[in-house]
Amino acid sequence: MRVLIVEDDIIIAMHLAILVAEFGHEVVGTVRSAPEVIAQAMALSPDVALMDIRLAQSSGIDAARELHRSQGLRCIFVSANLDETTRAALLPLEPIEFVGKPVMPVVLQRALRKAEALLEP
Amino acid sequence: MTAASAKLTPFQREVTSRFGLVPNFFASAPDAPEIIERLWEFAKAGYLDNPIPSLFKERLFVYLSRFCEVRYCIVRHFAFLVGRGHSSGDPGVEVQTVEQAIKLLKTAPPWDRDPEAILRQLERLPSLKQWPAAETQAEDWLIAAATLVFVEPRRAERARRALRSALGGNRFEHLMGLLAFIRTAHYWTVLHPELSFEEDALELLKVNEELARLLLEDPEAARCDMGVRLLEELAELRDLNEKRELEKAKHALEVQLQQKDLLLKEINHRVKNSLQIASSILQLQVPDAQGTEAADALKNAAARVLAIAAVHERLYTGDDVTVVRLDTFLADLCQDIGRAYGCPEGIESDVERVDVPTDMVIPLALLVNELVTNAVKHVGPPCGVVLRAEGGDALKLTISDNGKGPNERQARPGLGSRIIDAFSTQLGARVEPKRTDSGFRIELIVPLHTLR
Repeated sequence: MRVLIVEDDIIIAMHLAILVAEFGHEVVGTVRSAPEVIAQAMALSPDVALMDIRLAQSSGIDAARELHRSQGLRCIFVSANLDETTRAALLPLEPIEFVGKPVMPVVLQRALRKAEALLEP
Repeated sequence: MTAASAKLTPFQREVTSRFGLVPNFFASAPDAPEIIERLWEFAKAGYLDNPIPSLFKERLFVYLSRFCEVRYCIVRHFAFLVGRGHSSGDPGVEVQTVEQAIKLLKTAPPWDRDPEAILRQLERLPSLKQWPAAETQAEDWLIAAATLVFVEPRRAERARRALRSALGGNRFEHLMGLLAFIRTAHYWTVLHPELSFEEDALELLKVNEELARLLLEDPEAARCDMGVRLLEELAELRDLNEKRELEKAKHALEVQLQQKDLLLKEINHRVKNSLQIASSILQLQVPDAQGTEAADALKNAAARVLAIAAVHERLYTGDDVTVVRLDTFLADLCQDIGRAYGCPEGIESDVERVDVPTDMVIPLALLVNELVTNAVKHVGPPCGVVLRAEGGDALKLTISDNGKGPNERQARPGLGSRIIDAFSTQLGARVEPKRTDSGFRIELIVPLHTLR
């Protein structure tokens, strides 16, 4: 799968990129803000986005909404604050999975497997 | 009577000529009789010679005397009304029966009826050509409006206007003159608590017990005590203010609570993110050290930080912040250790869903991390991890492998075993290593709440 990583913390993004690669997927790009996501997502044509809900100065939810609207792209949401309200608010965007932060590699692995199964043509 | 009359002073004779007797009121300041004479002049101007019909004046005097804590006036004027002496100092006045007088006294005060309605009717009344007769509707409205003005003059603007429109200016001012005298009379009796009832009035009270109760125990008596009335109103205002203050304080508390909640969420978010960064940095360093001894140490360090981070991921997610539910995450932790050592399916975990006090979770997670890492690293898969609740007050953690147990001749215990010692001591856990037919098993019995 072509995976887009959306994470404003560069160290975490690097770690996620290593894990995604370790689990056998291609990281097509790492972006840090909602406007960047919207600007680049089309060109990068990812299969799935690993989306941090809380980005510096912008909202991952807004970015995800735009990706879902324009490209039908679905996300694995990553956040240190996954309360029920947040989960419920994201339901219209057909989330693939919610992954809590700090990320347990096996949990991420399971989410990517689920994405693979869901997105298989 | 004639003998007694002979001794009367000219003043007493004058009073007697009007009332038929000398009320004690007009004998209440023997040290300064000139004051009483001045009071008598006011009595004549405001009451006796006031052109308002005598019976109306007396009935109003009786009714308004309900609102005086001193009972002298009500008893005296009731007596006048029923023919003991002369109402309004008018020997030609109609005498009322005790029943008629009681009926008047039992008329509810305007604030217990509908003062609005009474005043509306009075306002609609065409100007009165003459004073209404006793016991008519119009008399009742006039007495009710006059009562409002008398008891709460500052809040009776509308009643005053209604009276003025019904009576016309001249009669209205005469009525105000009468109210002023009644007020003065009441006040004088308050200043002279020694004033006693006259013989004829006492006699009236003795023969009619109901009347005595009605006259002496009127609950409206306190009404006229303006001080008390004012205090009551102030108390009501204070209550209202207090209520508002309470509401405000409650709102402020709710806002504070919300802010506290937000702050807690924010801090929690920061801690988790920071732990993620710490764990990520260690993980990122592992490939750089590949093939050296440092790689193993880094891997262990990364695993330990990850164990702590994994606990934090679960903290404060439920409603109860004092416990953490050990559901899937301990199993995830085991699986991740397997993944790190290249055998993701090599660890079989069976973890019961159990609530563990928050402060015990990190030691517990690190114990599992060390024990499982030891098993995977030194013996290899398959390994088993079982966690069970032992009744309500203890947990049993069992880690098993196919090996022979730790090498007792190991010269220096590594950090792993020191961590195991430290946290089992901290948790008050009993550690029971056992060799079994199929290999080695270590059991930890952890009492819950040992850290509280």
